[in-house]
Amino acid sequence: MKANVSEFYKKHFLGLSALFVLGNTVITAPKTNADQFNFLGFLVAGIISLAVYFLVYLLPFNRITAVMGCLLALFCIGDAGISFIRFIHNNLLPETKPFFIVLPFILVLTFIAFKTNEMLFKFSVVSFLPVVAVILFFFFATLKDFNIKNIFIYELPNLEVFYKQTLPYIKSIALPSALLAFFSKTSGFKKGVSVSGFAIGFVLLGITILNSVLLFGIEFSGVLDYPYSSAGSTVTFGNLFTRMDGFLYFVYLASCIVKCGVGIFAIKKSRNKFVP
Amino acid sequence: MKKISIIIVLLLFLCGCDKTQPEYLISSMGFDYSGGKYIACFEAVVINSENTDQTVKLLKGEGSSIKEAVSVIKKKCTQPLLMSHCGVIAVSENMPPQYFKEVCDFCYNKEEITLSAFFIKTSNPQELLSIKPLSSVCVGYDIMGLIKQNPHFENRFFEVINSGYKARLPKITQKDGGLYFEG
Amino acid sequence: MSGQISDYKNCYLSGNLKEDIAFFKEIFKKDVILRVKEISARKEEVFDCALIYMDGMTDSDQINEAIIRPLLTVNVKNESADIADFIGKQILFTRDVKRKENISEILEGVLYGEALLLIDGSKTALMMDVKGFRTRGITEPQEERILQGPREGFEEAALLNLAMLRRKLLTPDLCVEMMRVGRRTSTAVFICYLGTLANQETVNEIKERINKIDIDGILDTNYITEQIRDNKLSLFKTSGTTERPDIVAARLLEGRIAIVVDGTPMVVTVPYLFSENFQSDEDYYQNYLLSSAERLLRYFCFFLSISIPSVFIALSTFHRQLLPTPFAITVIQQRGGVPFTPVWECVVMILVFEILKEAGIRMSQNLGHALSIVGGLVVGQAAVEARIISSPILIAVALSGIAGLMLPRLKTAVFYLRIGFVLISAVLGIYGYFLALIFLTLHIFSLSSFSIDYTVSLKRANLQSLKDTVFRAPWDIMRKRPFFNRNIIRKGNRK
Repeated sequence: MKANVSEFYKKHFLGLSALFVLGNTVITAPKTNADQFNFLGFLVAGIISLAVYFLVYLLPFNRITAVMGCLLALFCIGDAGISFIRFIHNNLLPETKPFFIVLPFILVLTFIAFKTNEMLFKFSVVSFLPVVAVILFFFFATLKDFNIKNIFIYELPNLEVFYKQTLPYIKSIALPSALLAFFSKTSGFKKGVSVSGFAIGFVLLGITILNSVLLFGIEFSGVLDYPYSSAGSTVTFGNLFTRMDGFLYFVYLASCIVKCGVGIFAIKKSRNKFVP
Repeated sequence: MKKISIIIVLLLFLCGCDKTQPEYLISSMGFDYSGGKYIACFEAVVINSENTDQTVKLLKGEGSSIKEAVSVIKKKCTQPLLMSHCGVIAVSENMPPQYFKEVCDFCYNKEEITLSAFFIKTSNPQELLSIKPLSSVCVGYDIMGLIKQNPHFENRFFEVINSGYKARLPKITQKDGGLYFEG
Repeated sequence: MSGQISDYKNCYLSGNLKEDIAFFKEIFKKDVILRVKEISARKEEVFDCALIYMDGMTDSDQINEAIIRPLLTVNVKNESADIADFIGKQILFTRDVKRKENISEILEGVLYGEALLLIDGSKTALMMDVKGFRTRGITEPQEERILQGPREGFEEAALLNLAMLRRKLLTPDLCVEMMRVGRRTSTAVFICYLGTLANQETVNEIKERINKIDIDGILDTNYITEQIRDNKLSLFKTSGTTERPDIVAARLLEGRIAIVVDGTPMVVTVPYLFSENFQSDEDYYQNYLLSSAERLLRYFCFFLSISIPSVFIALSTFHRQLLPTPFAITVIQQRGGVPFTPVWECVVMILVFEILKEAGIRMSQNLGHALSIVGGLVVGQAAVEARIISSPILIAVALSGIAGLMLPRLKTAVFYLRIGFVLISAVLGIYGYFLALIFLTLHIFSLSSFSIDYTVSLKRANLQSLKDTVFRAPWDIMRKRPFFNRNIIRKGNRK
């Protein structure tokens, strides 16, 4: 059965990996206190993530790695969930009690937990294309307002400054890439598929960060709570389409659901090591 | 238990109840600083359900800070203010730079105000926003139309912040019942 | 005795004519349409027999000419020891003669329009197929009208339906297996499939599920469908129904299995895929470009019909900053003075729309004009002018309702989803809407129909799998059948 899943769902896993990388990072990147080295830090974090990915792939799937996978999965689910709920509460539903925002989200995750991972694969392949379309749409719609100087680096970074810009991305990209490697390996997929998906997701994430930085500049982007949302809100078409950031909420929700879903299925795979 | 859960569910559906009241839609804002006081004026489109025409009101408030000036305006209004549709923010050309930054910070912190709102300068924001609109419901939309015809200004909110609050703002004046760019 | 055929499964004919006649008269003592004709043959052969049949269910001319007349004018000698064999093979003129001894089997035949011939001295009776009950005649199905293509539809007699199917599929590969379901109706249920295409495991699974049905009577396919379906709580049906023989034949050619139930023109086909909800009967009879455009439109209409009211509620209640300013002004203005919350307005209007729709189906045609006046003027105009409802909500619900009419196969799902989405948007705004949409998508992906993925075309996610789902590819490139078939090659291979 494992061989069949990996044989049929290659494209799906590619989409899943890409959405996984977007995860909740797309909501808040670039992070607070970002400076001119932020994008460089993002790129370095990507390289580190790949290294972590390959390292985890080499590890055997035993009880120790199963426990570590479980813990990592819980971290990713918590991180993604909290980020997303906080965004919804602060941006969309400030007057609604957080409990009522969290509850349906948890119900959806519970539903996912009782189903097979094939459902998540299909969801990934179906939502991948709209997500890419939305991200590219916003990028090209804001292209005319870009200031290319916003990504110029005028001096060489020192290690401490550089580390401060890389660390948030290590937490939000490199650590989850270990979970992706764990899930990919336990599901029987080859490295190539998930690495390709990772690369696509990384590029998409880079586009979203560039979108904010080129539009707002790094200082202002670093001050905004949700830079990509704010960037999306500046897109206007005539008098009729003035606030289009509503489309981004679907991107956030889809990528967070996928990230949490991967975590759930990684926990299920780990559990199989202990409970036959 | 069943009855309680049904009541809770029904109560949830009533969340939209408080949104049935008509609101003042703020189409443009004006800020001035003189005599040690901040003067805020909001051009509000009053959406009246009893007749199809919308009326426009100018709401004015003064205070030792912008927040105070705005809260004076809010106290005068019986209805909540819908600020997310504000398209134009007019500042007095005589406003010192540090106060201009305060205006920008206030507008930024009031997150409802979109980052694509246009900043303009004028000699007297209150006078500008109180003129009779020419071609649309309110003068704020007239100004937006004028700015969109001249897209070479980088005066949107995020562009102003991006420039370090040093963006060159277009000056708009009123002459013979019409609006013009000056300079 | 519980009054069921199975009560007599251990009973057999006695061989004594008078006793057997009395036995049957006792069974049907309160049934006035049972007829018993005693016949005494006194020509070349001497024997006594009795013909038992149900008046109205049999063809009287055939009974007279093919059974009674030959028996009374026997002109051959019996040279076999078995009188039943002699009569069945040399006397009777009917096309189908079966030998029966068991009372329950005999009762099944008599109750279905066969004539029973009891022979004195023989424990074997003869059953003759002389069915003559009136049927509605082949007409075009009301709910499945098309502009181009065959117009015939199934009717209530299962044998006639099977004959129509047989005319479409001139192949010995067509397998028809019969089962009887229903304790008191003993309804004939026929499982049809093409032996080399259908998955035998699925066939066995269907038979197993039907065998497990324990019910008084089966009067329609839905009695069976509801009891054998997967995912009983889901709004989406996992079995298809149709009244058209061409559609059933097309589905059989794709490796599906048809369930024909006697007494109803509706035929069930399984497994049923999600994409079939968006197919129309004439998709394959018209140009593929037009069919593809219409299918895309149906997908879009499904999305619109569940989304328009809920998105409107979400934006106008929670996220007015996302509305374009002129539209926001219109919405606020139109809502002024309306005493109800937007969500209740929406729900009530959706219900009113459904009431009008249902009334339109049930009422007589003479009242059509009156109903359109009530619907249009009273609900549409007067309610808005009286500020009971606002016109944006009316427009949103009307658009959503019209979009929903494009999808007759999804009417249950669309109705509940529309209301569900409105309620969740009323509580959680656009977040609730997107969450509900994602949950719906996940739910659809988790469904199955007789062990086949409901969205099996997404399993491979390649162009081949899209050829007959979102689009309808031209016939010359539709080389493969759906992937759950035993033989997926549709053309280019004569094996």
